[in-house]
This record gives sequence, C-alpha cells and structure tokens, in this order.
Amino acid sequence: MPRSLSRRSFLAGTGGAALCLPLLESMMPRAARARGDGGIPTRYVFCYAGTSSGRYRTPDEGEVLVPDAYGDLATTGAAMHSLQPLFEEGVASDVSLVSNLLIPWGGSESGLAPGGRLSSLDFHFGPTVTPQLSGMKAIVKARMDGPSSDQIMVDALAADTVVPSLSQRVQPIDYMGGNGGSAGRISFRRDGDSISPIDPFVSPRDTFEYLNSVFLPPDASPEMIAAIERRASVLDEVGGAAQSLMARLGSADRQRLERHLHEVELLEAQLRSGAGDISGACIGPMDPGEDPALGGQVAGVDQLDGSLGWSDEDTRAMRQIELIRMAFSCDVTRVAALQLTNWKSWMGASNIGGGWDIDIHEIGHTGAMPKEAMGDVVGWHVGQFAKLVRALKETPEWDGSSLLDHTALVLCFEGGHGEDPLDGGYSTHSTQNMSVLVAGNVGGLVAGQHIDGQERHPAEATLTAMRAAGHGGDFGDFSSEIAGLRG
Amino acid sequence: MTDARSFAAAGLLLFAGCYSGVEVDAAADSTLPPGQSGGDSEGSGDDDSDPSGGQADEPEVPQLVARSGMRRLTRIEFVDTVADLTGVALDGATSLPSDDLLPFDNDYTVQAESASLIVAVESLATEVADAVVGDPARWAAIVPCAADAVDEACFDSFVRTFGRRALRRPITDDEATRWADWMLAEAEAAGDPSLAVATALRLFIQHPEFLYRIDSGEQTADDADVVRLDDWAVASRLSFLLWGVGPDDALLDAAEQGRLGTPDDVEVEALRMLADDRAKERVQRFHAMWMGYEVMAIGGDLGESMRAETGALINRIVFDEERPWQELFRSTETFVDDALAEHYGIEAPTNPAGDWVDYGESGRAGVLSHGTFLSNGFKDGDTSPIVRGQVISTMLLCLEVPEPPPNVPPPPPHEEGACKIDEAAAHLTQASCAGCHAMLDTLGFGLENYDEFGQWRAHDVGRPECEIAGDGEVPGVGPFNGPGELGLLIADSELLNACLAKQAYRFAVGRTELDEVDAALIDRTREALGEGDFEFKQLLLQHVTDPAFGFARHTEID
Repeated sequence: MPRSLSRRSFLAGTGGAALCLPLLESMMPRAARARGDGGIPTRYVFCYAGTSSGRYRTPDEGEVLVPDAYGDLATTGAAMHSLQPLFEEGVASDVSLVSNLLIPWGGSESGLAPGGRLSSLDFHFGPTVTPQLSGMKAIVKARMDGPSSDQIMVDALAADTVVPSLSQRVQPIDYMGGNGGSAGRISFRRDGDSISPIDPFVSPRDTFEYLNSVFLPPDASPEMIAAIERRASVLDEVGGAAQSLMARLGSADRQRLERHLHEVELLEAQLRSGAGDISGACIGPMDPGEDPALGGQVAGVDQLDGSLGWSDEDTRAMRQIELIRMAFSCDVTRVAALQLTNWKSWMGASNIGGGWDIDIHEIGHTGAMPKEAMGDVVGWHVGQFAKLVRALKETPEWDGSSLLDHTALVLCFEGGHGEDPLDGGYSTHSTQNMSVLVAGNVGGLVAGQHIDGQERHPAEATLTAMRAAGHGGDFGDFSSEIAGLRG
Repeated sequence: MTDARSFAAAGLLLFAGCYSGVEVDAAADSTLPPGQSGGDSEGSGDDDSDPSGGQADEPEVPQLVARSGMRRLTRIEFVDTVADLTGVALDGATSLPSDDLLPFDNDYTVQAESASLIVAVESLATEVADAVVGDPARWAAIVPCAADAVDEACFDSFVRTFGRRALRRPITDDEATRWADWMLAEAEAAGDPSLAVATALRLFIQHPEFLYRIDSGEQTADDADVVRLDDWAVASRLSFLLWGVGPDDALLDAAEQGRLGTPDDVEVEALRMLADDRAKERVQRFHAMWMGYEVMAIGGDLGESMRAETGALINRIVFDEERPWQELFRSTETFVDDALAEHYGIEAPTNPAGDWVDYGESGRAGVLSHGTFLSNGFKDGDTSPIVRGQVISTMLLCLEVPEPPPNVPPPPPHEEGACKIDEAAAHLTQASCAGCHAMLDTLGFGLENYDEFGQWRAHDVGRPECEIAGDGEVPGVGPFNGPGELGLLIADSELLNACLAKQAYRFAVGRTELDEVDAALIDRTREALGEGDFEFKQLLLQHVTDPAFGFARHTEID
C-alpha cells in the first residue's frame, strides 16, 4: 500500500502524460507566499572559523584582527591585516567587530561561570566551541547540551520553509585521515530530550542538487522531468520501506528512522513540488559544476605544497555562499550555518594570502612563521564572511531593499589571543580577547563599528544578533546582549 | 496479509540450542521479509498476535541480553560493502557524514540523520548505478543478461540475487513483482532496458535495510523488548563484525537454510570467515582504532611503512602462526623496510622492501615500539606525555581517569625554560590535580625516550640539558622504561586482557557506553577464555557463540 499518492502512481493513472501533482502549501515557493503575506522574511546565518585570532606567544608583535581603538571600524580597522577583506569586498561599513570578549576559565574563583571553559577538556573539542555554538558550558568533550543558535532560529524564522535550515562546511575533509568527525559540525538540534548533530553538506554539488530539487525550469525537457520523476519514485519506495520497518523497532530506533524518513520525504516533496518561483530576486541555483578535487593529507608533512591540505576551499566557499544567497532570495530557507573550517583545522595555507606551506593550526602554534601568516589565516576567514555579506548586500529584495537588510550574520572564532593557564601569555589557546563579527541591517544591529565587548561572553554577541533577527528568548545560559551592538 | 502471516507461522522451524528456535521458513512465505511474520503491529488477532508463538518448544532466552540499536553502516562499511557488491570504488565517499573515533567508528548512539545524509546517499547511489551500467565487466558480474536484453526473467533474477545480498535478506514476491512492474515499464518507456537495473541499484543503495543494520527477529515471550534474531540478522552481525561488509552468498545460504541457529552453526561460519582476507583487514582495523593510529600524524611513505609493520605483526600473530594475542606485545621481531629500519636505528632487513628483523638490544619489543602506536600524543611538534598517558590508561588498559572536580584551580603558569618533566611535576603540587596527573604523567614519561615518530632520543627537543630518564610505572602493576618494557609488563597483566575483552565487545556491539549487562557479558567472555594468554580468534569466537549473540534488546525511550 503506497504511503501517499506517489508520482509514479499518479503518472500510471494518467497514462504518464501529465506531470502535475498538487502542491502542498508547505512546499510552495516561499517568496511568493512571503509577498502574499505582505512582508519580507528575516534570515539568520551563523559562521564559524576554526582558528584563533592570534598566534602563540608573540607578545610584542601586535594583533592581526583587533584594532587598538574602538569606534568607526572603517577608521580604526583600516590598518589591520585581517580586516582588509572587509574593505576589499566593500562591506567595512556593514560589519561590526566585537572584541575583548571572554570565555571565563571554569576554575575561576567565582566558580564555573556560565558558558565557562572546563580545564579538563582539550582546548579544541569543547571549551570554546560548545559555549559559542550553544551558549552552554562544555561539560563533556565534544558534547553539546543545547541546540545551536541556527537551530534555535529555525523555530523563530523558518518553521514553514521548504528547507528548515541549511548547514554547510567549506573544508571538506580534515586532512589528517578523516572527514571531520565532531570537529566538522556546528549545527545541533533538539530531538525530544536529546541534542542531535546535523551533519553539514560538504559538497556544493550535493547542496545544489538538494536545493535545485525545488525548482523545475519552465523549459525543462521531458528527459529532465522523467529523471526527476525517477528520483522521486525511488525516494517514495525508500520511504515506504522505512515506514514498513517501524513496527519492528524499539522506540529509540523508531525515532531515528522517523528522522530519516522525514528527510527522505522532504527531498521527495521538493522534487514533486514542481516549478519553483523563479522570479524577481529569485533566479534559482546556478549549476556549480563538479566539486573541486580533494586535497592530500598534511599528516607528517613538514612542508606543504598547493596540493596538500587544500581542496580549493576558495571555490567551495564561493559556491556555498552562492547557494545561501540563492536559498535566501528564493525563500527556500531562512537559516544557514556555514562552517568555514573544522575545529582545530589542518587546512593548508599554501593558497592563502602570501602562500604559507604549512597548515593553519601550525601557523597558530609555531613561532617560525611571520606575523603575516597568522594575519592571512584570520583574514581568509574574514574574507569568506565578507563575501557572504557582499553577496547578500548586492541581492535585491522585491521591494528594492537588499537581503542584507533582512539578515543577521555572525562569525565566531575558535579562540582569542591572550593568557591561557596551560600555555602562558599570548596563547593561541586563550579564551581571552575573543572576537565576533556581526553584520546585517536587521533589528537595530549597529554596523561598521568596533565595539568593546567588556569581557562579556562571545555567546552574548550571538544572542544579540539572534534577537535582532527575531528570537525572543535566551541563548543557553545567556540572557544579556552586548551593549552597543544594537541601537 | 493475515493469510500470509498465518502461513508463515505454520512454517516455523524449531531448532535445539542456546538461542535458536523460531525460524521463518522463507520459502514458505516469500511475500514477507524476515522479521515481519510476527509481532507485526498491523496484525489483528490472528496467530501472530501472540509474539510467543511456539514458545513451549523454544530454548530459554538468556538472562543477559545487551541493548542494541539500529546501526547505520559507517562510511567505510558503506564504501566497502558497495565495492563488495558491485566492484565500484566510491573513493572515500566523503560526502557521507563523519564517523567519530570513540575509539571505534561504529558507535550507533552518536549517529544522526540529516538532509546531507539523504542527499549524499542518493548521489552515491546514482554514482554506483552509472558505474555499473557504464562498465560491461561490472554489469556482467551482477546482471545475468546483456544491458540491452533486460527482460522480465533477467530482471527478476537480478533483483532476487543482488537484492538478497544488498538487503541481507530474501526479496519477497511482492517486492520483486512491484519493482518489475515499475522499473521495467519505466525502462521500456525510456527505450533503455538497462534503466530498470540502474533504478533497482539506486533503490538498493538507498534502501533503509542496506543503509542500516536492523535487529530483525521475533519478540520473546518473557520480555517484549528482547528480540530473538532471525538467521538473517545473525548473518549480518557476523559479517559486519568479522569482515566489515555484508554477508556473502555462502553466509546468506546458511541463513536461508537455517544453519545459523546454534552456536556450533555460527562457529562453523565464523571459522570459514576468519580464513578470509577480509577478516585480516577487519582485525587490523580494530587494532588501529583501539590503539589510536587509525588517524596518524605521520603520513607519506614512512607512515605507510609503519602501518605495514603493525599490520604484518598482527597478521603473523593472529592469523599466520595463530600464536597467543599477547605476543603482539612481546614480539622480539618486527617487519620493516630499509627506510623504517634506518628510521628506528635497528638492523636493516634482508629484503630492502620489507622483512622480519630482530630488535636486538634496541630496547624495543612488540607493537608498542612501532611508530604507529608511538605517534599517539603528537602535539605541537613534540610528544605530550599526558596524552600518551591517557591513551595507555584509558584506551589500552581501560583504567578510569576521573574528570577533575568542579572549581579545579588553573594549573601553575607556564615556566619558560623548564624541562618537560619539571613542568609536568608542577601539576603534582596541586592536590586536586595530583591524583590523575601522577598516573597519566608517569605512564607517559615512560615512553618519553621515543619521539612522536617512534625514534629514540636522549633529551627534550632542542634541549640537551634536559635529559630524559624514560622511567614510568603502571599503577598496581610495576615500573617500566620504554615501550618494550611496557609491552612485556602489561602482556602478563590481567588489565590488558580485560581491556581487550571490553574494547572488542564495544567494537562488536557498536556502542561505547556500557552498562551492567554489558559488563557481565564481558566478564563471561573473560572467564571463558581463562587466565593468561589466549588467541585473538578465540575471543571473537567466544563472542559470536555466546548465547546473547543471537538476541537483541531494543532501546526504549522513557
């Protein structure tokens, strides 16, 4: 017994001559619906950089990211190496930098601070990442005890979009023999009483196919329609098989399979939804072509070359940014997460800035490379963020405003640059002097400023952006916003 | 449906033995997949509404049944199984979700389902189908007719034969008929007979019973959460444990003929499978994940030589010479090529490409002296004795290292110029740190004469004034100096044997967190193996012939 009216059944019933399934309201092109409602939806993007903002034990060389003075970022940040991409992309006046943020050491005299860092955990797998993603303490290595900000924002912004959220990772593999593990995830959702990771798309090609399934070009050939139909039919059968297994499973397994089934049905429904709303700002996805080749491992290699530790992340990022822009402009989704690099990233830096034949984790630690290398690493991440901001800024909404006028964006870094009890002063493992970049002309967010974070937690900068985009609650352990970040 | 299930109930075959009993005669009802003959929620009062059907003659359900869950194929299992089925190499399939090494990559409790998984699997399924259709040799290996001659008979044969291997259970008549009606018509409409096979391949690779391992079987009468596995599920458990891929036709034949119903039956198949090269790869990978070198900070030719060295020792001890597993830690010989011998500073092999050489007076012995194991603790261009101590204590010996208490004070500030061992000693000045660090540091510093590449050294990196003593101690066991002595020390210790049993159990059940039932099952295995040395194969055989192997306890959400 079919679970639903499959397109296969439908076609069989019509002799295969028609391709016209009724659209579910929830699968309708969003932009049209949003316009029908008379408003433009608000969006949210969380970005993550798997690097600290300064390098190891370099007390006298100055910062690469954080200007000495607060105030107008175009003025104060003009000489900062890692902020140059903001100027190059023309978005220095659209982005604010919140610095002097602090994730307190868990063993401070005041006890375990909210979102605090526990000393027992490896720096890279919990102490700084977990609090920034979820606003909650890192209790167990690499475990999240709350949903990530993007998933919280799904509830606020995207409950009825075709794709509730789009999580992508630019760095496709970890270059040490694996493909990411926990270090390759930044999105976590609440499933009942548990927190489940959301594995990101790492292939722009896959993401394109996923998003493209919403759209059927008006001039689609019969072959293209038939191919889509075959995909949908297989998914329908897969869904039916999953459904028939349910009765044989315990409740925990059922919950997992239901999630699997939900995602299968979502993709099938996208395929069956027929033509998307390709009009106005929504121009549908451009075929990105094949993914760039994966780079070689950096394990045990003292000196890299352009082929090791590098999978053309520049091109991958460009394509993924374009996919976000498209998904927002067509209102396929309103929430995105973009992990630029893994936690503790070993991406090679041969193709970054001046070209440094060493991986970016080692650049943070070794004193053998010049300061410019660290500046290039941080700047590369800022640059991707700037390109995203620019893409949204240059994409008009139907009323003449831009996507950026309706989006809040955040970029967090894995670490700051300051004292660390385990490593000493000016450590790349420090959680002092942390920084967050915030952009978007929504909810009163202040743009183009360098703002003193006054040793508040970086999660509060994220919360400020979340509230600007419409979130009405707290963020994990945090309920306060950063002073001066919202007007 | 009711008739069909009644028919299935009539086809029950009863076997004597610890966990055999209810077996569905697949030939008696080919409209239902295994596991759907009883306890079906769609049932409504027929014979199968009593899940204990035939219980009077069933053997007793074991008191100890471990909780189990649906296990998605790991990325490597997915790739290897696809290659095993079709000959198509998916080149890593990096678009599939990552698998955390905890230390094993198959912990089903941390697997998650996301849109990216669905899309990646769909994409890979298309890649597989295209590769088969586009390669006459691959096509001929799995499809019993030419690509332009796919008729009803050919297609039926293909879906039943290939589908049985892909889904690890027989294809029902309903499925075969439905798929044929659909796919052959679609292919005919497209004017491309091969399309039917391509569509079937895409379905099989995306099918939940390919992607997930499901504990199919019958509910037991005593405990509704406990399932007596059918032979198909037993075959899958066996195959993924021993080979890391789905069952071959011989194993599926055994399942179909009800020849996996007793421990003796299972042992017969397990012994056959352990003689296959796939078992060697699987056992090597178990050790690589357990001992922390699956992902190694040493690449290139040297890294490959090190992996070959450890692999050769495991093969020699476990398979070729079938010596006690503990000899892995005592071996006085190692397999090296010229480059690795020079790297270690030991005698060059007779064959420059690789041969066994004696460690001589180098102080090395066994697997812990290999670069693979010694790469553990690589940190910032040096070793971390603390990390090495953690690896030895928590992974190799399964010792509990408690988390620091809340409000632990920050450690003493970093002191420029201090030798590593002096800096580490500062941890011991703080009472709240001293307990754990005394153990971790002492273990780790016992290997400190060997750097992160496995080379011997006399002092800290670039610090001749900081001579390394290399003394360590295993708590409650004894002192050692260097990896050779550590290996000899723990090989004779119950700690190592007990930890192996625990880690092998984790690997087998695909779960890191263990409960009291698991602990009791592990104890039972240990007792069965007896004191002292044992063969690794014995351990595996003990696990798969334990009465609990044929059962699963569903995990319920409170």
